[in-house]
Amino acid sequence: MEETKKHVLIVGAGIAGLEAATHLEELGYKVSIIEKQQVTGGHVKNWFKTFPYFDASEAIINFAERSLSKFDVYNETQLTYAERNDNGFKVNTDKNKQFQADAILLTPGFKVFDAHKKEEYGYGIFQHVITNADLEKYFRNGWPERDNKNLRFGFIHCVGSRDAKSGNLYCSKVCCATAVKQAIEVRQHFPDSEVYCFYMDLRMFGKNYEEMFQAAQEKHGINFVRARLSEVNQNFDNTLLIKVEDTLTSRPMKLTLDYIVLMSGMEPAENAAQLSQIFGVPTDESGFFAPEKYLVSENNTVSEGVFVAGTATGPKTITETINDARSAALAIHHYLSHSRIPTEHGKE
Amino acid sequence: MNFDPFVLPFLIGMIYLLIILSWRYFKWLDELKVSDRAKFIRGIFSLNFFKAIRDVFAESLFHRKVFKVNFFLGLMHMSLAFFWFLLIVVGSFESKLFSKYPFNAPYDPVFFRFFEHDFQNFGAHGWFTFFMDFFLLVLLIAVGLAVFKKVHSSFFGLKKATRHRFVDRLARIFLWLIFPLRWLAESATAGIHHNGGFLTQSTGNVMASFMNLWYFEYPLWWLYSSALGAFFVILPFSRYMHIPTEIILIFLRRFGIKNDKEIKGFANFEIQSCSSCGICISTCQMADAAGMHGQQAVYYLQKLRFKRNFEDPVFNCLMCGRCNFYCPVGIDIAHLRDLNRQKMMPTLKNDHSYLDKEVVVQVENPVRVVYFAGCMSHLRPGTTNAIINIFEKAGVDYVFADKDGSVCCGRPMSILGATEEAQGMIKKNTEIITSSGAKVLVTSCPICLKMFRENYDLPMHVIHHTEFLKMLVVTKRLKLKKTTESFVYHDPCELGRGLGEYKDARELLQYMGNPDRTSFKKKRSLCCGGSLANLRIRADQRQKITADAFEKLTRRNPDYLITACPRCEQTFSTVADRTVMDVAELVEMNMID
Amino acid sequence: MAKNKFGFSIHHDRQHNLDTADRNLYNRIALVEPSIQRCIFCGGCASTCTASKFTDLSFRLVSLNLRRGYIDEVKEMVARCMLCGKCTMVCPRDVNIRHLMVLLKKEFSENEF
Repeated sequence: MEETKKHVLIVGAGIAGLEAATHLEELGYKVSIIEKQQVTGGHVKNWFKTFPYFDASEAIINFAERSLSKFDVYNETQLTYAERNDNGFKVNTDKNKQFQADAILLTPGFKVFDAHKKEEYGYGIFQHVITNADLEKYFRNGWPERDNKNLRFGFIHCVGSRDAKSGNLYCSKVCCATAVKQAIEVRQHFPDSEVYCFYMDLRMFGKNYEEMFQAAQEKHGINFVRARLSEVNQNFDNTLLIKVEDTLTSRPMKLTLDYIVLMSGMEPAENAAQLSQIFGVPTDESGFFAPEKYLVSENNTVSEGVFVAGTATGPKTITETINDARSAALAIHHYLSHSRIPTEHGKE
Repeated sequence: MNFDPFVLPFLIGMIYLLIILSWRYFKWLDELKVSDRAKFIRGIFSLNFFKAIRDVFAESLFHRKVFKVNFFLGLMHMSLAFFWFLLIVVGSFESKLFSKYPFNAPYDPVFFRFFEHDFQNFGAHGWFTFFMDFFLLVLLIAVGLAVFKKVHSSFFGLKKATRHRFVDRLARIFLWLIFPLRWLAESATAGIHHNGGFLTQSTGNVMASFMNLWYFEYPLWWLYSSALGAFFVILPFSRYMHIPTEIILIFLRRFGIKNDKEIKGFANFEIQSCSSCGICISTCQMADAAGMHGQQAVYYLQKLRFKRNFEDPVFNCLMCGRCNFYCPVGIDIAHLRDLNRQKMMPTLKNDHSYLDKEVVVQVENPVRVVYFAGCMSHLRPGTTNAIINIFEKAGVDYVFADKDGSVCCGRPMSILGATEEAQGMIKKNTEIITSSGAKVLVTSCPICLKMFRENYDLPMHVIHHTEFLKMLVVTKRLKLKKTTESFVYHDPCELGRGLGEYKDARELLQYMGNPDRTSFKKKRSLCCGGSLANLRIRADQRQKITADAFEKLTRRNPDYLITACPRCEQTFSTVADRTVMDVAELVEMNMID
Repeated sequence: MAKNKFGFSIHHDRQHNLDTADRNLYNRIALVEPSIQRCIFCGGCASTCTASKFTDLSFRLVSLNLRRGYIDEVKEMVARCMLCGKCTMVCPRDVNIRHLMVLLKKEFSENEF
């Protein structure tokens, strides 16, 4: 007699959810994913190239969606309610679809910091102030019409991160590498452009990041200025005038730019608070999910049967997200097959 | 003449009190400016004299302002004050009517029941005993409420009661003892001589049934007299000094005497009129939202009066003005704090010579309107942009004075007590603004506005942009449509309580929609927490105040939080979960041709 | 085996000498306003400074110079501050810069450095 497969419900079909689904399905579980957008792929779907090797984001998506046909994906569906029962969890959605699941994996991902909140940078007020997310769209879909000769770009690091005035004290980790990557892409797209990066620190922590940074300086001639921008002004011809303190020479500095790109950081997903409340998963001070134990058990939560993965617990690179998703799949597998691997020395 | 040694504590206490009060009041009246003294004399012979009497009834006796804060709090204070007043007045009347002699000893009405037992020829006896007993009953209930308030201050609308000094607590015990002791003393006499009313007679009868009243009657009157005497002796050194002082303060205010530049004279009347009621603690957001204690008005006045170190209350204050508004005595605490700041802040050695050397004013053709954004507004380009766009659309003849960066108006320096040191900035800005040739100065920052109006001498109208924009709409140079979004309006401290301007922003908003109802409006508005007046407060303490104020303002879940001050706008946006914007930005969004 | 007495001394040694740097003022200020300790010298304050358009004023430099013991430079800059508060409003580390400026101004007014 064949045993009915245990059912895992995944909330969020970004690369974390998709990767975990792939492995869970292979391990013999029935997998369903609910996704609020029209398509799967999360944020990575909207990007153009990845750092540090400039692989196409599309390749990452193709990789993440390689087993898509093997599990059920419900797009444009949001979770509205869940409760525990004897057989696990009963989950309701806004599309009159109900689920009965043995385990839950929360991968709602992140939200890009809304740069409108940093009004002094002029996002939404001055025409050519854009965010890193907007820039990826330009790379994918083409640039708006304008005189594209000798453009000057300024990348502003740490927008909405490491900033008490934005309400986020943490570092979003990946924006520095993203800025360097985007700066290189701009130089490749507009060969006669001048690109500046205004940073507080340069976090080039991963494999090949430092090399990418050096190439940015040497091969692409990108200018790195250690300065924190505080205000943007617009000239009559819609160019942007900024004034910073050039901290490394200790003098004030001004320059005119054609585009300012704000490196908006990662914030917890919009529905993170709601999911936290429904499933009893606590959040940390910044609103990201808090796992059962930091450092060694970051996919389990204090709520039995509920697991987390991906940027929902904090900013991560694509590789870290994929690895985290696989780790979560394994944790769920241990849980559902009543594995006897202890989580702590001497404990089961 | 009636006399017994037991009246001595009362008598000595009363004479002692009168001497101290006269000494203090004459000293302070002497400290008044010559012009104020003239006002005082004129005032006594004017209609204001009667208005003052009416005020004394309304505030000192009925405590109208306290009722506004909380009904039970008002009830308690009113019962104590007004009914003690009735006890004294009606008791005096009773005593004089009985003795048929208008001038009897001051203690005769107080100890009336002890001395007079035979009322057969006094027809009004029944009425008097009824009313006197009734007043006493209300007073006993009031004391009961006061005791209850110590245990459960939240019932009376006070989130946290004042931390009283030892002397104040001792004085309060004497005060609380007076009425129960009077009740027991009068009842004991009634038990023996049957001259009591519905309360005292019944109590007396009960007492007679289980104790030997002949033994207890006399000591009870001694205790009652001592409680009164002790209260009078301690009064000038305690918070109860407010009882007589508030009355004088009311008269002085009615005669038009106001705060001056020094902490003496009138200010002394104010300081010693503080009853330590603690309403200022409940209404202070530093206490309420951030759990900070020791800086509130009551503690500042306490420390100022008893010459303790008051540096922290002086400088660690948002100067938002809420305590001014809620104070039932109407003490102008903000002004007193400001005086102390000017006095206590040492002369800061500034070097603003670069203003003259580097800032070269260029005069162009004169314009009608000069727009001054101010330092804060430069961090909110949404607002300055909106105003410029509106000016362009309405065809205003303007110049943007500080487009390329401001010279600070000087108020952030002045509000810390360094007004003298801001002269360099005042001079330079005056030069810049007047060189525009404009008839009107429009500013988007209420902080600058207050400075321009109070410390500058500009030969033109000085107004806030909400007033100007409203004028544009009224004169049909600007047309607005209704917005579909909901919003709530926040009155900035500097514009509202600071300058008394509440109407223009609201009237302007009315063209676009109805703001959400909120109890925190106009004089009752909250402070955003970002005030420049407080130098010492920590960032995490400020954040608590801001988050609390934001939550309170957005209870009806509006789409926008609208304000008229760039500082408020920026402060709220650090905690906001929805759009915060200036009135001008909403106007820009809803302009039509 | 005579010791070689050859060498040279430096007339104007350009090195910061952290061994002898006078951190007295910095330590005293940090006691009253501890937030100065979390400054990361990003320069946001100097960038927005109202006075920096017209004159040399950078709280970032003040913060650094205090730590290195260069009090004269601090004294000059601090006198130019207009106390407008914009720096405090943009600081990502919530340093209470305006309070620090007042403390320093008071320090230099009261004690002749």
